[in-house]
Amino acid sequence: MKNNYFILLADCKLVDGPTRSIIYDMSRSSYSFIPNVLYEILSEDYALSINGIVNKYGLENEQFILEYFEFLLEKEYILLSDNPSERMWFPGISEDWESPYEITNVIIDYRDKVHPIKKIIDELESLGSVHIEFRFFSDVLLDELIVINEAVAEYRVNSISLLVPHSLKINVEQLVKENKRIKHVEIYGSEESSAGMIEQALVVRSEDMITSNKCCGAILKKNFNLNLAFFNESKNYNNCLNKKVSIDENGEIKNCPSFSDSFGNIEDKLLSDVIETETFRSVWAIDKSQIDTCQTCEFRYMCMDCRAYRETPEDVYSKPLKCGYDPNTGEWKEWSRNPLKKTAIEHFNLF
Amino acid sequence: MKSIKEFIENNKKDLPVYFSYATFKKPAPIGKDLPETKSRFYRTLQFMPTKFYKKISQSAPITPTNEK
Repeated sequence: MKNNYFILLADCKLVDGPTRSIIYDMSRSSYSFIPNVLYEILSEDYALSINGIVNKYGLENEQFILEYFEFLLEKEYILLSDNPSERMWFPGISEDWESPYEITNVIIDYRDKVHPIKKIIDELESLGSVHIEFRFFSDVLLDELIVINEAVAEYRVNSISLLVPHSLKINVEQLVKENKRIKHVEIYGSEESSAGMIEQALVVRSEDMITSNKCCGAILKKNFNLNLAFFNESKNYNNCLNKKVSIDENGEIKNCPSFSDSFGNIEDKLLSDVIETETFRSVWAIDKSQIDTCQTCEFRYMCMDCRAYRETPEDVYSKPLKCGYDPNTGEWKEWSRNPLKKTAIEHFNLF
Repeated sequence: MKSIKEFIENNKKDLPVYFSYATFKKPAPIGKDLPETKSRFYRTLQFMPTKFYKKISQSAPITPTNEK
């Protein structure tokens, strides 16, 4: 091994943090923590053989360095070659992100008011092939699911997610069989948690009660998203708000239903007019490199941002309020119990 | 410099958490019902040295995530 050179595979991306770094394994949607010294070796010492790396860091560290490379080989993050020029056979993967569509994802919230869904879908048709998330915060609009089903039938909606209360008592099996574009259903307020596939849809039953859009924005490990498209989008744009448009439960058009600023009501405004405005698009460009704390966090390219709820409400670049992770210590804590967040929690009226 | 084994042990608690789709249980820690054996997609130029091709072709096949 020691005379060989390592080749880090293109679908394994290195992301550093203050106390540890991560190898993002895009092909397997998984990740491994690595010590920061290994991050340095992989990102800076690719021109050296393993022997050269041992000489650089000192013979007293030889055992650790060899263990590092055994770990990387076992995980299939690297290949070894006795000829460094063979790295040319493994070109890197671009970190650009592009989409041909004006809009790629939509959130539509319902409580007790019906939206002009056919008008909305008709407008979205010209904006792109979108993913739509329909969120129901009450059980009074069961019939709207039928209207939505009919409205999307003839349009190029890419995929649909549903967030519904258990009390709505929908027949999930029938629903996902009838509409092949439903890819995700979350039923909250269930008696016990479970997850499984029904036809093409992932159906998740959660014991949590989700009463409004204020429940959104929590930074949780289970929501981490590890794939190349999300990684690239996170590097270049705001991975939550980019090319997103939302309609809140009152029909107000917003970047996110949890934002207070409205761009007008869907009853009398065109979505295409709204998304053309500079103000609406400005938040799309707030990427992780601009956000406090997130800019150095090792999870930054797998974690979905939240600009709606911020630790410092008046600072649009402030760390997400509902993140309990401190990359400077590597510790997770319950964010809602942090006394430093009390003012912001009261500002957003979260509890 | 630290031992990688000690490092991995210290950071185990923060590894990915997944739902175990096949058994309909709550989130399961890494190592259970996970697609870890998924084949890796290697981008490469047209003519790959044979020694790398042999290594790649020995990589394990894809395991579906919802396999019962």
